[in-house]
Amino acid sequence: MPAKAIGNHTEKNGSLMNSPLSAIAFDFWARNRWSLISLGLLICATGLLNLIFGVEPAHYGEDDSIIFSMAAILMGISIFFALGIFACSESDNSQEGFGFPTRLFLLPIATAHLVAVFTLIGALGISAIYLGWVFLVFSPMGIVFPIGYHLTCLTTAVVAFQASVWGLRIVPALRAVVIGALAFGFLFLIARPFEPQTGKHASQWQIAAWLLPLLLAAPLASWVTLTKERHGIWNRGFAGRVSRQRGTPTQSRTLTSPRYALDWIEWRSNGRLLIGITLLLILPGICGRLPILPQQFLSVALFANTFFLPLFFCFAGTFIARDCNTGTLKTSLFTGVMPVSIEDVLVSKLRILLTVGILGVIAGILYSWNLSAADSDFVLKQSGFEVEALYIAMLTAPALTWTCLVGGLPLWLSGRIESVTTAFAITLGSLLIPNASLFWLFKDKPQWITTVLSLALTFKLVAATIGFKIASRGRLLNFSTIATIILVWLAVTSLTVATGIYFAKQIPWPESRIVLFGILICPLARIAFCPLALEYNRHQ
Amino acid sequence: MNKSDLQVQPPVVELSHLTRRYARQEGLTDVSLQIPEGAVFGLVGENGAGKTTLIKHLLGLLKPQSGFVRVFGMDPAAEPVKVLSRIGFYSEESNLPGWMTVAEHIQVQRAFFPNWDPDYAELLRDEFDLDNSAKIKTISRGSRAKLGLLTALAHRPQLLILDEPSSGLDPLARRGILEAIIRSIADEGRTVLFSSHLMDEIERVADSVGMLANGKLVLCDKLDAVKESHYRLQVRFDSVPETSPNLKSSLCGAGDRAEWTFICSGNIIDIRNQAREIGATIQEESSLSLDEIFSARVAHAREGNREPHGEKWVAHE
Repeated sequence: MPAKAIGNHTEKNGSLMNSPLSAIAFDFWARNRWSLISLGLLICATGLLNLIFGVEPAHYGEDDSIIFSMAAILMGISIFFALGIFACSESDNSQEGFGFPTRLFLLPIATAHLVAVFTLIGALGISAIYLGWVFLVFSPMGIVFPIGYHLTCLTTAVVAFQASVWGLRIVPALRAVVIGALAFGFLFLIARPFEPQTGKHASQWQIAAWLLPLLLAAPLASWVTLTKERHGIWNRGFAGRVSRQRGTPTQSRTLTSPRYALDWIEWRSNGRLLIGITLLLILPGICGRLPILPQQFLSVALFANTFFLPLFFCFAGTFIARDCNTGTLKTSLFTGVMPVSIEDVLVSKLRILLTVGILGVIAGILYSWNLSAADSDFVLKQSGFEVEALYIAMLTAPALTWTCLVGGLPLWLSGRIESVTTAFAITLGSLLIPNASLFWLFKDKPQWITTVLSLALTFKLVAATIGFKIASRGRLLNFSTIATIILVWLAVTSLTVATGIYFAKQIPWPESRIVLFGILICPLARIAFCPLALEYNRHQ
Repeated sequence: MNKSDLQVQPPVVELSHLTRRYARQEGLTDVSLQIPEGAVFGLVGENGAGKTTLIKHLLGLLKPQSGFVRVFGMDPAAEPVKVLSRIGFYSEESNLPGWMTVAEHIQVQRAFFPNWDPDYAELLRDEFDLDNSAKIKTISRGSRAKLGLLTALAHRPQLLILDEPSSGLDPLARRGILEAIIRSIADEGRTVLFSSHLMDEIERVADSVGMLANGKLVLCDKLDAVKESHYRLQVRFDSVPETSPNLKSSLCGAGDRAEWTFICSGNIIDIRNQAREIGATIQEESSLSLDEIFSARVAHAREGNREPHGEKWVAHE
């Protein structure tokens, strides 16, 4: 009997993996199962919370719309995250960054089949996630979505995204521009049904019909470019010429010290990210204000900023934490054997984090500038705030930026989770869910907020003291470095507290609460644990 | 003889009862080893035997779960900067960053090592025929290996650690360049530790050898001593033994009916006496290649008949 059972089991497994295409689909599932399961759980948890707490069907602009806003933000983030998963890309050290997994080219499968499988996975996957949100979360709220129109937009977006990620691997700057343009274009199209339509405008079905050629052309483009890449002839055409131009070497400066060399490596390996953030967050912030652009564009810019702020800064933090050589969070052999101290590595990473953080705050201020100028009702009025958007945003922008940027820095630096995407997803989830829960719990009990903030501050200071003490005892950080970190923290915190007090009259919060919030904005405890995490990662 | 003559130099590498367990397998079990200055130590073992784990401990990339590791008398995990700045390390596993050019990579590495010798680096670059302006991702696997070797050597390290250096090099480069480098370093009195599964390479280059099998150090001695203490014995029994004959010093044996072959380790006179005691007549005695010794040792270790662990192996100068 056992033999029979074993035999049956084998047969079952055999039939499952009989087809090469199903084996590839399984390979995709195996690589991304935790991310996909997390997404599924997020949808189910949001739907369940909505059901348990019995929110009445919300109406746009009424009290319960805060739930709608939060769910919409989570949905937007999860769809962006899903796009990243369904791009089906892998990082390859011998190639130009991430792109189509070249290891699959070694399999005896036609390129057309590979493209077909991943296109199908992408289209079905993104549709499943969208429908999950619509039916499990928004339908019980009584909110109706234009499903057909959105599905056309999303499936087109995913195949176009795949085509760009795969086809333009050797021209990463062009790829960043194309992906940025696609992101804003599709955001505009997806948000369109929720914006007031004035004057003559195309119907949803007209737009869907315009998207069809792109939906068909994108997989074709993927097939053409991947066939060329597979046979090593992609380098001969236009992309190759651009790539060679870009790759023209220049005489670099002599690197005089280990710390300077580390900074150089960090800047070189994260430079593209910084440019991307500047373009994606600051540029729309400025463009949204220009009078030559239609009001609708401003709404899209704000919509984009609301999603991009937490998403990009969390990703930026994870990106900076990764090993510059392998692109994963685990210290590589190359980096591990560099004769540098944990302190040097940490300081180098903190410098770049601070720079990105300052850029993020600039983006946040531009965002708030837009928000207040346009009298937009996109986020804050839905959230029930009766105050000027600018004042709230002036405090929340740095809070959001630094919280997401430093996110799970000790977890990321520990290398405990190797994959950047998984660590990013876990951190984003662990930041969003408790914050949203706390907000919901204390929405009607403002008297508790000060107590919660005081407890959080006490916890933060105690944790920071313990972290620095252990790092100092283990000779991981010098006293001067600890002092510098604390001084920077004090300077930034003074600035946030001063800003809060300056705007105190405009914000309906007691001054003590604003001061507490201001002190909590700039991270300290998580930074204190970073040297311990780095040590764990390096010496295991 | 003055006082300084009496001072004993600490070994460059010292492992004592080093043990490392992974979730589902043994990494290293109770490994003790000393490598003195000036030795060329070859570490051999099958894939997964623990060679890279041992090397990672020396580099401070793994902390010992029990036992201790000292390199230049220091704990490499506690003093990474002091230890690593005196070590040159190359492994094919340590993928170099593909986005850097050869020149950039050399400059970056130079910043980390105060003793970097730019003239020697340039000499090696010429010798290896590496194009300064080429991006690392565009050069061949062999060139990447040569670049890795260049950066491991250019600061004239006191200890050169090479983890499977031959995998990335063609036979010509292996014999012509790698072996010449190792010998010249040893001639300067510096220490080399390299792991390989190519026994002929170890035989040509190393003066001491350590054998790892299933995470255990099953043999560690001077290469000549290892080779002189292992024999192949072909014996004949007058009558066919009822059970498999057991020669006390044999690592493994095979045979059919009255004719048997044993791989033995130990003193040849003792072995001859043992053969006589079990009623065997020695037909032929021959020496073994390192490859054969290794195979026999691994087979022996798999049977669990290895020598008692905990003994400290010393690679003599």
